[in-house]
Amino acid sequence: MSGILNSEMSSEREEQIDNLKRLWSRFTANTLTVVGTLIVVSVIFAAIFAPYIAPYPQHAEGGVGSVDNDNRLAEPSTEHLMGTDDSGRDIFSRVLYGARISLQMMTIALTLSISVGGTLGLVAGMKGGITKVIIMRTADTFMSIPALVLAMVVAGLLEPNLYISMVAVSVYWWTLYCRLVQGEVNSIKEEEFVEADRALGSPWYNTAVKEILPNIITPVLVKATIDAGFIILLAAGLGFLGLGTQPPTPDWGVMVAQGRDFVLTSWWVSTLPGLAIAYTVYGFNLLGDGLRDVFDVEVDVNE
Amino acid sequence: MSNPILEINDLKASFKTYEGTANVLDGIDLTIHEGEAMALVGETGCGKSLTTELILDLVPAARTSGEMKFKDEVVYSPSVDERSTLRGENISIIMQDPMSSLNPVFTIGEQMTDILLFGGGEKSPIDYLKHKLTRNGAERKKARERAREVLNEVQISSPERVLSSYPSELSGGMRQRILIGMALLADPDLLIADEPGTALDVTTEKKILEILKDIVDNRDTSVIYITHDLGVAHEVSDRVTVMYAGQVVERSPTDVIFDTPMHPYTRTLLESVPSLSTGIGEGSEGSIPSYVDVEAECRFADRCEFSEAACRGVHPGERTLDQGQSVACHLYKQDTGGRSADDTDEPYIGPPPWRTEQKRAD
Amino acid sequence: MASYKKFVLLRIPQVVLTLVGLSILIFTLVRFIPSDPARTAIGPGASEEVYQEYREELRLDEPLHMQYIGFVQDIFNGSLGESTRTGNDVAVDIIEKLPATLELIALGFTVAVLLGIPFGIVAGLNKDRLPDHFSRFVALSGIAFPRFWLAITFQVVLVSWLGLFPLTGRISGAAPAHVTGFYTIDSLIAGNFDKFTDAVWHLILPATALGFSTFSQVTRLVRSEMIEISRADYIMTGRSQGIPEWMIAYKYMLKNAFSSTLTVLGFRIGGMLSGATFVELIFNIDGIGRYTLASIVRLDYNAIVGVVLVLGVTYLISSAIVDMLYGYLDPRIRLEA
Repeated sequence: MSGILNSEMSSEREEQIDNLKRLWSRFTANTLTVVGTLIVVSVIFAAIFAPYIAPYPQHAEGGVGSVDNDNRLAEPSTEHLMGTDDSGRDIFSRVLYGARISLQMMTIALTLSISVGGTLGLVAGMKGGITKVIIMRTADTFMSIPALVLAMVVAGLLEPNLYISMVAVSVYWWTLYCRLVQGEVNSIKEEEFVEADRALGSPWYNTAVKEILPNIITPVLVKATIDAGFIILLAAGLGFLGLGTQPPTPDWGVMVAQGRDFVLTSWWVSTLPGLAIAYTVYGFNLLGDGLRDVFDVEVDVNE
Repeated sequence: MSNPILEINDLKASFKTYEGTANVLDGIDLTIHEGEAMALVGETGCGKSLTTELILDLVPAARTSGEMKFKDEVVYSPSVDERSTLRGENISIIMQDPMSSLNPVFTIGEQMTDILLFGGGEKSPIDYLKHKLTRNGAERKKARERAREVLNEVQISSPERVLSSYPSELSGGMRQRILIGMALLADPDLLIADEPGTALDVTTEKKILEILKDIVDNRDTSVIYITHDLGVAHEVSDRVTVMYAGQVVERSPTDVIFDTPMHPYTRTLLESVPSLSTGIGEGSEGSIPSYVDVEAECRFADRCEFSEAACRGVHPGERTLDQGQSVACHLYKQDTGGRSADDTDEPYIGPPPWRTEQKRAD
Repeated sequence: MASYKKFVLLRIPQVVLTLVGLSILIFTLVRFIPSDPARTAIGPGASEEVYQEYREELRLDEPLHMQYIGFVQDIFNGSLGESTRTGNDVAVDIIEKLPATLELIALGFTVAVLLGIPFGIVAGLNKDRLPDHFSRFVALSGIAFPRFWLAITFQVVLVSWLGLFPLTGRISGAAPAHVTGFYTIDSLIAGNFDKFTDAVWHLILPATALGFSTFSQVTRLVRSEMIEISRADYIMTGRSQGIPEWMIAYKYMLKNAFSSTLTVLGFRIGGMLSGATFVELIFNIDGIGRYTLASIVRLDYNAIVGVVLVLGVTYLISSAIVDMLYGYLDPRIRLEA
């Protein structure tokens, strides 16, 4: 008896392993996905090890020696890979530290948006009726204001800083997860196992957690990967406008803005930190596209 | 027998997939004669539709090899590929799913007149622009007239209304008729009907088959019916070719195959034919094996109740039997005509005759 | 066509409803913020009397719903309230600033669509071949590079290094006589062709920086739609009846691909309206984007509400138009309604 059980279990295990293998081979079959993964990994690496890789960590961390007035606006060289800014700070070091800021902001904004939007979407999908109408109409209303403008207004009216700007981003972004989750719930709700669960009389939130949640994790994670890039872009935009992270924090958007005054004389101050934004967004987009293909889920891409 | 209109020799097709190369078609031979109605039978996924789509070069993703002749002229070989010139005027396909096979954003009339005015591949974009600019009334009117004709032929009672409708405004049965009509526009010599009516309800399906059969009889065109249902094949065809997992497993005149199905797979198919007395057929258990990494063996071996060692190791070649039948199965001795003379009156069931003979000898 | 009319009519109440929601949302949002607009407007040094007067003028002491009703009444009188920063009615300010932004968007959008569609078609028809790889690279770049980076890099390379374009502004010398506020149109009205080319010359860099991401989005979408549609059954039907390849691609596939691309274009208008803030800031163009930013920085409540409302209305109207076009192009949609 136990022998049969064992063999059944092992065949189930084998199937799981086969499945993973298939997903893995799909994942690696696409060069672009692999490139995207490498980019994302390199950004995370830079964020974690910034103090050890950065040649001039004091230029990014502030405090003693955070400016070097003898070395202002130095051109890119072997000593300063990306040159220095108008306070003589090494731009490359600040770009490396900037990865910390960007990833931090992205994580905060995504966590907020997914938890708020996801929960509301789940409730709307499960409860239906008037609850759904109210939630979804509210989401529609938020969506009718361009993401940047809504974030600008919220960040500007409160005191702009890193955390506020992430709240500001989430004020728009929750709507996307609300819509995604609500749609997924709608399509899953009709399936047999959910109906069966409900027929057995378990309350809706039990069904939601037990049956629905596991099924919507994949599309949400895929969308989150793609969105990570867009949120980094939006956060940098807020920083650029002075409505996000404030100087002297080494935020990529802030750094581009600081270089604006030297566009005609010192091109590197603005353009090189901007490349870091593009590099990171490339990475998350390629990775997200790849994951979407691997898991074969459909998610909208909004900007 | 009349002249062959289409001959296919050793047609192979493979696709690249994430899991590896899928060898879907494995050496298909087919011959259709003038005026003949052949049924290509097999379950979903066995490569019936693919075979016919390859005749007209409609599957760009497939890597193909083999040879095809249309009216004794080579249209496909390692050095020639003129399959696309056959489309429409020579060979025409009635697509499988009426709901998705009509372009949703153009009216039926526009789609039909386009086939008449620009089909055949000789017209250039310049011709199209000229046509649009000059609003060539006479030519258009003629095309519309012809479209109305074929719609009448498929028994659509209000062709004018249908011509100015979008597909989404019409029922499934209507769309299926339109697809048949479209295939007739250019008077093809060979018509391929892919599961005609299967997507619709039983009554409509029956009506569609009747219409189609009438048209084929009246026009005396050759036709290939693709179907998963041997019952349909019985109604409409002269000859049946059974496919399994990308190979031909049996060929037979239609009336013979119902009496004496030779291949074990044909038997399971026959058992699954729904009939009024027994209700829905039992169906055959299991499914078509993966096309990736296929071994040189009988592809049906895993599902076959008669399978033995030979079936796993060696691929059974096709062997000719009497009554115009041929079968690819190890149950029958190579080139010996299969059964002994004494049990011909018995429909073929169970272990093959030569094995029972052996038992008796023991 | 009767069904199409119904489809359009059904759309209107939806728009109106969202609009009401939007005005309530932005109105409340601004008033829940913990800072004092009257104090911000008059500065910390002003007397208590002036301060009270200002509070009254802004209706700040009335209950929230009364404030909203007053606000709606004002709208019907053609006023969006006074801007505490400029001293003008916000509606007047917006009308003055909008043309510069619309000019940018119009050019950027047109070029993006006109280039994006053929680019997407070629990529879609040549899936996994060189044109496809190239277009995917460009498309991804359009998403990855921030607009403000593009704008600044244009200034560095095309202006500072190569000297091809003017650095900032909308026109060299005096503006043409004011008729529409669009410098290109006004200069043509004035019959001054040199001014017209000059205005266009000034527009090119900011419009490109603004429209590049839309271009890449259109390319990406048309490409994926073309690929998706090339697998559709009806495309095989056309092909099997001998319809030539050019007709399959440019008539049968394109109309389908285009109608689904359209829906996304509505979204893009909103993105471009807000993206204009960066471009106007960097190229020193006095448009609605810079006005928005300045209003936010100075906590100019009426201006913020007014601008957001106008942007929302623009977005809603453009997406409604897009929906209607979509319904016109794709009979399936209007039948569902």
